[in-house]
Amino acid sequence: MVAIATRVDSLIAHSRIFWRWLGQAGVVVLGIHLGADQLDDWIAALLSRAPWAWPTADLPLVAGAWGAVAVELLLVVKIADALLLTPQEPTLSWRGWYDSRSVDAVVLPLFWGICALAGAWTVGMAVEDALAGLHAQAAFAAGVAAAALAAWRLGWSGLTRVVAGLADPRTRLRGLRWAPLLIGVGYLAARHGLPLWGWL
Amino acid sequence: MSAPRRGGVLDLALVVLVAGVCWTRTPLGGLADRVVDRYRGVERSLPSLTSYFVTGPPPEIAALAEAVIAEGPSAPPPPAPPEGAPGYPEPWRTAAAHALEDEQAVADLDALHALHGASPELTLAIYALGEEQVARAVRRARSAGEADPERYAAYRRYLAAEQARLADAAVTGTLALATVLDLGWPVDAAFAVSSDYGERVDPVTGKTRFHNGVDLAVPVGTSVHAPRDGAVSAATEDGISGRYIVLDHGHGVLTSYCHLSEHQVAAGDEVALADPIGLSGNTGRSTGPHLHYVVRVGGRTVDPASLRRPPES
Repeated sequence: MVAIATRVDSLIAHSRIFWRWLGQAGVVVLGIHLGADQLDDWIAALLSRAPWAWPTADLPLVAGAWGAVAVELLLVVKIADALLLTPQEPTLSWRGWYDSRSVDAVVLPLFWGICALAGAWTVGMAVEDALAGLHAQAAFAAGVAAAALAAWRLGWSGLTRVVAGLADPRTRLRGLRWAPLLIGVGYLAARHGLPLWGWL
Repeated sequence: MSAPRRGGVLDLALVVLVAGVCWTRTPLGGLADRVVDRYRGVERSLPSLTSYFVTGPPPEIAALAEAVIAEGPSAPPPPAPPEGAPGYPEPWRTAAAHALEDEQAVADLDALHALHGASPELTLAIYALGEEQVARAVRRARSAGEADPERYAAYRRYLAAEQARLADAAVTGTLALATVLDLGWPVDAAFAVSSDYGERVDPVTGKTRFHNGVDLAVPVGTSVHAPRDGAVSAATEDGISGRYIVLDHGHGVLTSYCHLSEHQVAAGDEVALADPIGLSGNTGRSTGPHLHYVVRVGGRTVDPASLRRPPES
């Protein structure tokens, strides 16, 4: 029985190439959403201080919410691009990262790491919410375990894949156009998506 | 890094879990719902992609606010709290009686308030979501270091999207209505209203136009006060409103003060009830000294006239 289970596990493991990217991207998308959830307020506050009168007073709020949706979907395109164009099981080395150094090589892994951690926390929250009706403390423990597993098996593997997949840049400024968006949403995900700040 | 030959089941289970959470908690999932519905030829009403964010009170709250404040003192009071019990406090009590469709809502809020002794905002969320969900979300907001973790806007993002949507109308609508009902008056109530809210002949253009606030007949230099605590979201000027100030009282409630001669606050300042914010004037498109006072709820204007309390004798 154990041998069969091990064989099935191994077979599924060999098919990772087809589906693991979905989880690696998904965990980052969840982190992006936690960050973008604050972005709508920022955009609305910025727009409401514009030196012109808006046709309706709620327009900055509506524009803020749609702006956050747009940014979130735009960043999904960016992470899909960063993930799907890289080898499945790349070799990670400091030398390789150093050779590929550019704005993208610094900003993207930072953004990815923060959003993957925030996303893993969202996974933990969802597990806890789903099980809370059964046993509150067990649900909390299951949530923590799910968050840790998602961060390790999907967050970390996605991060190493993205870092190792960084192509040699034609210019060190590669990624400069995306950097403000990645830094902004990454900051918000770090500020509102990590269950750390309350302890510090 | 060679491909690990173990952990396939674990990874697949995690991918399914993450994909499911993404589907239910992010706008990307909302977009995927639309694509799937289109592919299957199914037509159903899906929540807006912006509903994954806090978007303020429901649009119908402005009409309700207008109806409630127009009724003024003649509005039927909510049922009295049980004898000896503190009762859910005003103005949230009256707001809940009007904004929540459940006839038992006020009695339930009384009981929850007596049981938990929590803030009115938190009691409202417990009513809408249940104690456990609210406690979990507040705990998460606290872990994330949110400045005020017991505020609905701070912990909403740590709720499941469908739960948040479920609670939005009840919580944000009632809070918006309570905020409006709590507004004071920006100048001494003895000053008369010189032009009402609604359709009128514009004194400058001579055309019939909608007057989105009330004009208060105050001499230049009259002190204008904040009708409730809030933040200054604008203190600027233009050719029409002259020098004007917009205060954000939270929960989608904004008040504006136009044709001022002087600002006494700047954008970003916090103000408390009755703080002086400026001096009235005759700036912008104005035919004489007055204060144009506007109240907005969820982006729509309401007639503020009934918020004016009789002058103290």
